[in-house]
Amino acid sequence: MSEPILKISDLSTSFFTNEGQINAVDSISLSIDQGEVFGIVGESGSGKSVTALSLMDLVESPGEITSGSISYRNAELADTLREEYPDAVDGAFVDILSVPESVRRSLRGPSFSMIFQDPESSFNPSVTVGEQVAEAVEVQRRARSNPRSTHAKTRGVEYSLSGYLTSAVLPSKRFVTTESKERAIELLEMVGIPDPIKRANEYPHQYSGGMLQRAMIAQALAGEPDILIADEPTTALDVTIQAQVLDILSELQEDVGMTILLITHNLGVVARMCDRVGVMYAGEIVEQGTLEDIFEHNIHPYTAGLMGSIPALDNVGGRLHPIEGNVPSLLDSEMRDGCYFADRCPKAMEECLTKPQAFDGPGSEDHAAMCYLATHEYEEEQALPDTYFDSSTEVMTDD
Amino acid sequence: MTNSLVEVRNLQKYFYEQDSLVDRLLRTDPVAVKAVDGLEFEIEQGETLGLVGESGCGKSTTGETVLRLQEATEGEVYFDGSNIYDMNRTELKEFRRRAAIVFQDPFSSLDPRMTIGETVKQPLDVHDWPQDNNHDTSKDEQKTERVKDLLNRVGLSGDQFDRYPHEFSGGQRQRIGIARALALDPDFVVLDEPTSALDVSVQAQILNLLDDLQSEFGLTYLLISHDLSVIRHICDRVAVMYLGEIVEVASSQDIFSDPQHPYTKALLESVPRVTITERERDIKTLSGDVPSPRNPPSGCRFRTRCPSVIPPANSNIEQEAYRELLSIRNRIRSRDIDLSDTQEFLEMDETEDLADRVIETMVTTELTFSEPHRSRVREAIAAALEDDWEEAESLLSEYESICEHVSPALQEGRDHCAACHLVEQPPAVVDAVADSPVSPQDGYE
Amino acid sequence: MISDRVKSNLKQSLSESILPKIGLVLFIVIIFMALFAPVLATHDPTSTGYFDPESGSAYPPLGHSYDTEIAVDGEFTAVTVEANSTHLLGTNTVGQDVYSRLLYGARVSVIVGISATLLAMLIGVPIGLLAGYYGGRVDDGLMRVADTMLAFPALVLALALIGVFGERPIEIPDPIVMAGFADGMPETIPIPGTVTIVGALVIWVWFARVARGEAMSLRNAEYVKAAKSFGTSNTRILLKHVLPNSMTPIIVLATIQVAVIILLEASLAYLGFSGTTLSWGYEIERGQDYLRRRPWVSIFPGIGIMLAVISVNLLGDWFRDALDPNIDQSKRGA
Repeated sequence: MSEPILKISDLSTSFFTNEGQINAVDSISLSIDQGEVFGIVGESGSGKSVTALSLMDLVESPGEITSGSISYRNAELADTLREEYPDAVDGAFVDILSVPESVRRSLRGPSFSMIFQDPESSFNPSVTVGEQVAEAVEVQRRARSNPRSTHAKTRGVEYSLSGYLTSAVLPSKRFVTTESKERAIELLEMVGIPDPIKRANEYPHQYSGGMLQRAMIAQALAGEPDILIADEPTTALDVTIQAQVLDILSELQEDVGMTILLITHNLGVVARMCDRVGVMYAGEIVEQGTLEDIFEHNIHPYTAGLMGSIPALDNVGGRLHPIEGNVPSLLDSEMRDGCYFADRCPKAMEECLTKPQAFDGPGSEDHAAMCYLATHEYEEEQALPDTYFDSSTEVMTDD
Repeated sequence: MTNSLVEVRNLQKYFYEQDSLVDRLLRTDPVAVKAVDGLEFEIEQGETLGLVGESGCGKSTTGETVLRLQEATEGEVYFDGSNIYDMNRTELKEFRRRAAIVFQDPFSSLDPRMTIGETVKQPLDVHDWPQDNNHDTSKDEQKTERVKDLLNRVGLSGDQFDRYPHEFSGGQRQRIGIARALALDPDFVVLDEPTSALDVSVQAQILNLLDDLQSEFGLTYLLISHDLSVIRHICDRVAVMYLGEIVEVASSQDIFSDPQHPYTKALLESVPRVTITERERDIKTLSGDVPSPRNPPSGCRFRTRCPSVIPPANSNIEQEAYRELLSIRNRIRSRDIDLSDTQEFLEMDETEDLADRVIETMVTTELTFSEPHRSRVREAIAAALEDDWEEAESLLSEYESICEHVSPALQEGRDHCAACHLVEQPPAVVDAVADSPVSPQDGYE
Repeated sequence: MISDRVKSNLKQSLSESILPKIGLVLFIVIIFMALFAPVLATHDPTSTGYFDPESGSAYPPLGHSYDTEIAVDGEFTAVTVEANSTHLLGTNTVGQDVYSRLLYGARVSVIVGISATLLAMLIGVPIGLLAGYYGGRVDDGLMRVADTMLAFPALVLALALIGVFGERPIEIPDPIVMAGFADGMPETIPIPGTVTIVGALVIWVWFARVARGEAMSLRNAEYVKAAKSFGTSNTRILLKHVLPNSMTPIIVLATIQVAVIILLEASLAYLGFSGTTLSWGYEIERGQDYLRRRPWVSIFPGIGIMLAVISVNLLGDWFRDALDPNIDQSKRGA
């Protein structure tokens, strides 16, 4: 087992809206090993995308990371930062939440890179795909030659008025160099775009959804990131195309040894890609462990409910066993003190009215679940009456 | 066939582009987008037929033309024996009462300015339900009563009558849509991706609900979905669509255990299974993208992505090499080899052979063509480089496949049939194959 | 028709930003001026001859004075004209009270602006909805007519139409004066009838285009398809689903078009084609030859036009932000 490359502890991200505080991510802790694929699975509104954005430092107002630390292992970075920010550095780990924003920004690309669900809106429609990938390469190239001043470097060229005017008047005089263009073509080839030389000169609208998703992966790879965060990378794609894109991601992970944080709602994708999995519900990671822990030895009734909700392809089965009720609102004022899942849980007991900690589960040593069932069996006499949450559910639908 | 509630014969729906007044004045020819092209299927009373396919294959258009929500370009749809495209006003109104639809998007399927009570009541108002009023209560009270019953039946509370759609979650809105569809006690319901916008746990609730309603009211469903596991879960029979055509029809059992069409096979293989052994399962992914329905491929429409295109007789070529060769030939046909970029990028020295390098850049896999195929491809590309495209084309002309020449068809009267030259074909197709200039490689057919 | 969400959005953006507040206050002031002009006015706006008795010149606004020359016994003598306390904003070149005319000018602007816009909506919205909903040839035909209308500059079109129809002011009895609350004020309000109709004819195209766009997208909305699926007639769909759901952008457009009409009316009045003299545009024209010596004659109606247009535009922006169904202000950022 290899070392962790990323350790997140007690990370909370909240949105401060007019209706009140929304705890999108509620003190989650997890660690991701070098070279593994870690999956975060959950339904819409479970906070999985906000987790990704928090890692990339892309949470926008009115959202804010309110507490926690994100420790990223990078010996080189730790050395350069040790003098200036002794509090942020611990061995080879750097807490990226305690360093200034300029440093965090310089990590985007060479350390963390992200791909999104919707490739269509991630590309500028008026610039060729090759050019856009090359631009990413160029930014990273410049950043590498002077790691602390990505900003100044890019400003010097692209954002000066004269630079802008030249590039607008003389399209050949662009920001990117020939080397960056060649690298871009290599990247496009790497993600399996056929005939990359020709396709690099095409515009986004000439690409299909699957092709664009690959181009976005190529763009994310420009800085040779340590960690690739993929937020629902295949949700917008058809199954046959999804299989192609998952293949590309698997190959990258095997060939380059890249660490991937895969965020998805599709348990099939998790099964195909992930080494370890975290299941998110209402902003918390309610259960995490290896794929086997989650699929075969799951403890949390929510995990079990998710598994029971999926119609199987291989054996025709009678009724599904869905989770009753709806995903709760994450408004701070409406959240109960106890387990957030208790109102939908078929095995809710009296002790569930106080919040469970993360207990160790059976299977691998990583297996942990925020549920009392990890410590003892379900006891029927302790069960909460069926109607216990009815009044509060009513409040929720009122919303 | 006597039990068929819905019978679709040669259904076609073309959309025309460049068909505005200006285009007509300029005499631009309209471009037909063949969204649905010659569908034939029937749905038995009380069964669930699944229509599965990827985005853009025309499955939703099929659902809407079957209900005459869009006019068909050609073809007939028989509902209970009469063609809905020949119906007069009263007949059509009766058909509208007996057939309903549930849509995919729980957000756009409800009018945001109507309370859910009004929404569910609409069909009752339009049909002036109940037609015979023998009760003491007024029609309005009966309608309200009926709406409350319906809301209760789909798992909502009748008290929520006066709420607006934005107060409900996606799953609850989908339930409201279902209540509206059931308001007039229909016989036939088209379910157009009813769960694809929902989370899995909510999807399961809705699937169970649909299941219950079917047995309770004896409904006949046409379920349109891209999700094979949903299809498998509730369908009795399945039709697989690709680019506006049905490529395979069979019982759910047969489709999933013994798929015949290469597309069905690939589709099934592509779905990731929820098991811990999934990572070891080897998937042969389909290459490429779905071609545009503006200009679909000749012959079998799947041949551009098909992993088992039939090579011509005596060609002795590996399947993989053959498919690469076909894609090179397609590029030559569409005059789509642009050398200016390639040459610049390759920075080649004088001694190298340009044609060789071009082949290298065009062929993505590590495959090499065996002789005599390699020299033929080289010659063709060399000809193309000298701008002699006709020569280039003719050099590769002997690689034509039967799949390009003759469209395969579904065999009538069979329970399990697939439109592919690899399976038994109806006599008309067999004759066409015999007449075509290309004969399939030995071992096929 | 106005849901709670819209109400709360309206409140929300009103409290968040200063601009809607300015717009709302200005608008209320202008409406107030227009409604109660007879009560607020100090003089009959049409009666002439309020001149400085010594010099026979117009009074300046309160607190100002100006020098002029008068001929006394064939010789020019310099005199200073002092303001008269009854004429708040002075008098104009024919000796009418500027303040009273400013109030009555607001009347004409507001009435023409609102009634022309309503008329334009009545023409444009049904045409646009029909064109967008049915599409095809209906759409082609109606929209080519609309495009032709758009091809003419608004003012040229307006002048041409006035040339055809004549000026035709409409005299409406003034309820406040009739009820006896404001004696000595004009008993009727002159409304430039042709200008109202011309204004509507110039701007209906915009309503048609917006309504068409909305109807085209609503035609494919799933709830419209659902309504068709159980046999709802097209008329009913248009009235129950398409019209209510198209209203938001139409209301926003209407607010902004009120400003367009106010400007158009002022321009026509300035050119002398309004059919009434009780108009801000006409007052500007009257004062323009004396701008250097008696600037107040033109400045006050000019400010009136400016404030009216600004207020209506600010209201339009406010509505646009608050009514956008895709923005739920209260849940922003969630």
